[in-house]
Amino acid sequence: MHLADGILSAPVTVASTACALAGIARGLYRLEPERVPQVGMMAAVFFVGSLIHVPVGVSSAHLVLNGLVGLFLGWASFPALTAALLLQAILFHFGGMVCLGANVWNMALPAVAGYYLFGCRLRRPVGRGMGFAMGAAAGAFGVFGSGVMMALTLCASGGEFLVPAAAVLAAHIPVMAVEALVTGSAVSFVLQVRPEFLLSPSDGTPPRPEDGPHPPADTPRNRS
Amino acid sequence: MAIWSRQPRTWREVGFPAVLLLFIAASPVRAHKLNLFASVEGTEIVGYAYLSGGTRVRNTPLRLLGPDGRELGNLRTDGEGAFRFTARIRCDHMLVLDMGDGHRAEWLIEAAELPPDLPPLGPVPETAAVARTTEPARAEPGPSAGAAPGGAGYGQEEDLRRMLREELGPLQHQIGRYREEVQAFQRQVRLHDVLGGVGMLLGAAGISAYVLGRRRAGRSRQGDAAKGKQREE
Repeated sequence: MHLADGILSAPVTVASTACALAGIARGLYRLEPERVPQVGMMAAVFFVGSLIHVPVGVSSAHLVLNGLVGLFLGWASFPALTAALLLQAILFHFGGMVCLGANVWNMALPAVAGYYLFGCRLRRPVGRGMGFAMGAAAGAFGVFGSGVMMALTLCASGGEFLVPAAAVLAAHIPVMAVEALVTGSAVSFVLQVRPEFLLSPSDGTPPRPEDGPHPPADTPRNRS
Repeated sequence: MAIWSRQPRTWREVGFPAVLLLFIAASPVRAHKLNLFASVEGTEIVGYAYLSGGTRVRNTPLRLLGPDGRELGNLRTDGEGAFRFTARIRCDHMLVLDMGDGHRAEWLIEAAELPPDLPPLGPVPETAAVARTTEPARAEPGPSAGAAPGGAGYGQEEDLRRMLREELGPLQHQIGRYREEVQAFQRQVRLHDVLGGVGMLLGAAGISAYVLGRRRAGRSRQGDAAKGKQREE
């Protein structure tokens, strides 16, 4: 999932860095102070998640967890993933420093897309089954989307599209399954103990007072 | 605190985090990165490619580039991820391995690592000059040492070189092994890196929350003061 330095052409690097910067600006725009710790926490989860390996045949691939981050943070995934990917590049030599912007763009865009596709259903009270389903879908979609984005990026810098896309996606099918499981379980767990994590608007807009307080964890909805 | 103040009811509340923690604790800490290692044995450049975690990278194209970007060789790693290339020119060899899916690794074999009796790179002036100047300097002790007993012939020098190569071969191999171990050690992801990264992320989030919170508090105080003034007026 992490592109190394020296692969992408200069225009692709510049363009994706510009896109990533725009995403970061959008994510930081009106980010409430109350949500900042959550952003940091999800960045830490993403940072560590990449160290968990899933065996794939003779090789292995690691968890990405961008779907999980996107579901919780929405647009704030951009700054969160930027911080986490920067530290991964510095500490683990995991992805290049020059193409950091490309890596951010490739992983954060599917995260935000997953937020709009699946996260909006979690904004109102839902059962844990629904939570699991949406989480699983977002988790699998995050990995799939990143794989497609990465193949597109490689293609744009003069490579083929189908071969790397097939290689990346084939290697990540088991990862998608595990991510679906992990993200689904995490969402249903959070719905159980801290529903306000998901229910509060996480796209940077302040919560409207007329929404009233979020339902406490012990409502009958959660017992079912 | 609300999480822990209630009695746990389902496995999800206790079981899931426990399983996740076990999952994290049980998996060896390692990053997924393509690594390339190469060393010189005689006139051959030998090495192998592996993903962190030790999986060998099989049947992947490897290119050897000269200092001027000219391609000196093109081969594929074998079923064990290893490769062997006979150098014909004494110059810097840049080994580039590209898996085509975003993984790429490089390794530089410097001209000085290759045996001095190989011809230097032709048209490139700098490296060739370096190779030429270093070559006689290195070859010097050979003939002069041989000259003392009685006349250093060309054959004797060749013998001496072959002998030295045979004697130094195991040492070269050993140094190669050490470099290999050092590289593997450097590439390892260590627990303190992980903890440091997590700490840095949480710390940065904490500081920015504090700064943002203070700014907002300051703004609301100013707002209150302004309202107070309006009221007074």
